[in-house]
Amino acid sequence: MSRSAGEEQGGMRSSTDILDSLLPLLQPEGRELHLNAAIVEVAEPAQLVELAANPRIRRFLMARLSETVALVDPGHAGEIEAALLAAGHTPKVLTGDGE
Amino acid sequence: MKLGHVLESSLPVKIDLHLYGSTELKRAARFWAGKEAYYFAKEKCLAALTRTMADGDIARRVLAGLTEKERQVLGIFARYGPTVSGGLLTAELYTRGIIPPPPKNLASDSYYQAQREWRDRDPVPGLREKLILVSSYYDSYYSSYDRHRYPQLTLHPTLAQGVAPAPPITWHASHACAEAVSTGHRSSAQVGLDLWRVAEVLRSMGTWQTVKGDSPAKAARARLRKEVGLRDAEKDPMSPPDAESFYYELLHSMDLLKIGDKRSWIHQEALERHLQQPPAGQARQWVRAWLHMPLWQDGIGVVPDRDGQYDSVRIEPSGLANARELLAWALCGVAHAPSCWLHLETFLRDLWQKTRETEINFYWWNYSWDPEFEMGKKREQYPAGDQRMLAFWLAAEAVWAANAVMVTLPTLGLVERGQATGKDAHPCFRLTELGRVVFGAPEVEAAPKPVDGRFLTVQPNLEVVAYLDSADARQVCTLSRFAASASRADSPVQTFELRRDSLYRALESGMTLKEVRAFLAEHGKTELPANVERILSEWAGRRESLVLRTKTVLALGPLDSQTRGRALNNNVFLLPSSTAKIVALGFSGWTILDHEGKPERTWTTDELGSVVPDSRTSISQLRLARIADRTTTGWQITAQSLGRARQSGMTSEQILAWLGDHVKGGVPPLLEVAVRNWTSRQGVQLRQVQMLRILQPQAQQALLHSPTFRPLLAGHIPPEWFLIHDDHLSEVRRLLETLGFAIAESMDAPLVGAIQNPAKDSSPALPRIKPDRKRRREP
Repeated sequence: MSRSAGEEQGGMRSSTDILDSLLPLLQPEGRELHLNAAIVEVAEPAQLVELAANPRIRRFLMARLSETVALVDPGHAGEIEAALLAAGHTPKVLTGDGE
Repeated sequence: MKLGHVLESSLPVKIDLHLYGSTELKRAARFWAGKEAYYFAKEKCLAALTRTMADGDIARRVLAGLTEKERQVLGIFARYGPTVSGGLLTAELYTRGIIPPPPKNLASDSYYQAQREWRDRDPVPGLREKLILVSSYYDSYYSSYDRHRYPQLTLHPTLAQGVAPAPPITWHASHACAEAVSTGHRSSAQVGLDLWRVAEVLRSMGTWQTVKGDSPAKAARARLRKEVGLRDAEKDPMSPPDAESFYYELLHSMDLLKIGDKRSWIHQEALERHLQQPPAGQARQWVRAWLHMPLWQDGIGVVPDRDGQYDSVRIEPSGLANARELLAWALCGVAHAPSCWLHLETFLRDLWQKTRETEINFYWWNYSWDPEFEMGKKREQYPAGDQRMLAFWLAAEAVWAANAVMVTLPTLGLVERGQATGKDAHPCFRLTELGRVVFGAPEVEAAPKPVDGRFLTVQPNLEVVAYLDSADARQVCTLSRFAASASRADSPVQTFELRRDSLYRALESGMTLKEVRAFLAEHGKTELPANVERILSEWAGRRESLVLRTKTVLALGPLDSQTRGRALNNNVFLLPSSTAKIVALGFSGWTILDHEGKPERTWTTDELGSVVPDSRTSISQLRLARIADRTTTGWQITAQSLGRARQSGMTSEQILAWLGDHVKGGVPPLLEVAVRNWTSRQGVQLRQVQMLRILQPQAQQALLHSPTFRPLLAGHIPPEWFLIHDDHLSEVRRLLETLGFAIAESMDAPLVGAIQNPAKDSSPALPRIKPDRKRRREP
């Protein structure tokens, strides 16, 4: 959440700042257990920025769970997969927590 | 791999002695159980037969007591399976000379004597009487004065073990054919690739609709044709008509499609098992599928699963099945003869001669390819008799057989076709090596091939050139899992392209990059170019860097020490996804949100977009934050908040779906209209108009159709309201007064909601005020 001094001085925004504006971090008010949830995991925060900056993908993203994980709008796993493919991404599609 | 006979029966053997009459049972029981059985009652006969027919020693005694001819008959059953169709049995009995041709000269004084003697030499009735050969009780013995065909019969299973199969019949062509030119044949890999392409499109469709007989519906056929794009008879008469449907019916006949009541889908695992078989094993299944494929017909294409009331719409399926079986039987003979080219016409004449008693006989006339046999063309010139019958047969049924031999079977890689050398280029054919193995089984076996398997070259531009003659179907199908086909020509050399999406599909279907690399290295004639290897790694790496996980279980909150999960954040954990385990873990006190279920309706809203949620679950809060602004009492949906949502890609339908999911009692219609307006800027027109109201229907119609008034009217709100152009108001007034109308200056307008809009009442020449044609979407 906090910016480094160098970034402040140089006027550059960190990927976290950009993500905060594009895809806010989920901050639940109570303890929740989400079943059958779909999430998107990326290797780098910059990839999440890229996805969140694309309105055709962003429309199916609810919030950020971490710097590299986003929660998908319930009931739209199929749509986000199609949107990712249409945007030229090649997502590895997995079920559950398995590899 | 040793193949079974291609015509081997797979029908279940079912013998029901109860269907026989007491006299028939007594005769059989006398043979099986002894002379005294002739005096048994029916039930006792049944018991005796059941006991003796299951006794191996008695079976051996029965076999030992048979005549040589009877043993020869049983040898046919041992060759083709316990059940043999009437057509095949008839052709076999005559060709093997077990019975001589029946007497034909009806006019002869001695015909009936000759007929009786001929029947006495027929061993089949005796075998049936002894219940050594059994038939369906209702399957009648077909016999007439000019033909003598047997019904479908089954050799009693107890005896089947002790009978040696009859040796193969060798085909002798009545005229030899010299060498051929313009020859061509397909490899099994080409066939496998076509089959795979059709299956891939079906798989990409997921499910499709079928019509009667399980054929694909018109839309599915059109998509298959568009996406597979095989060469068919419309472009080349030597290609099969409706080529994609031909492969579809093959898949169906091989039980690789699952046909549901409304939707159908492909049995992917069974297809892959099929393609993993050796080429001859696959080809044998193709032929057996073709034998029983009623809705794709050789030289015709797809036909409906019905017969026309007045016009013929297809070859009658049982007639076609008989014809295909007899043709395959003839080709089995060809497979056992020395390999040589056969004149098509000579072969078909020989076929007619050998199958005269059970002839290929049906009605059809319009085939995609017609060899135009000379004798067939001159059929009317022949006098009554055998030659005339043959000539008519060559003009009709033989054209079907020609399409099967020269088009269908070459498409399956079983027949090589060519043109006979000489002054007339007559079509000729011979069996391919694969065809000889399939039709010559079990005696003819595939020669072991030198193991090389290098059939492709990968080029630096990511193209893969595959030489299908050196490959088998499973190798080509594996290649096409990760490389897209770039050429549609029916050529033994095919070009594929390594594409990011094709590799992605392969990886998603379970292949690994390592397997792809190993395949290219194993089958490549040259080394895999370094840049190709690098690009493949990069593509695979990109896939690994973006993962979409579905059906996960997320815990948003601190976990106790016993619960294991992968931390995505300080407060977010990805848990093992077994529902049972979740229950066992016991998350009491936690809010459970199932993303596959409907959310709880917890939002209260008014027409102007003020929203008050009862629940503060994260999904509810996140959705509200996307579409509304926070206020002191709750949330407010505004044009600005929806503008923000639109900028982040949301559509009006998505927003309305969220509202529909969460709002108690449904979304107020005015709010729905506002949401649509805010997201898509639907416009209305507002301006001042002059209106004329006429209550009398006769006067309304007169004005609507008046050439005088029409140019002065700007519109019509049926039935009684007319819009007047501003600049014509005084002229309208003058005309109305002239025509005797009393004009009132005040107007009693009806209340909103009372206005109806029967547009049909107004003249089409005038603009009408129409109801909104956009159907309101249900939440």
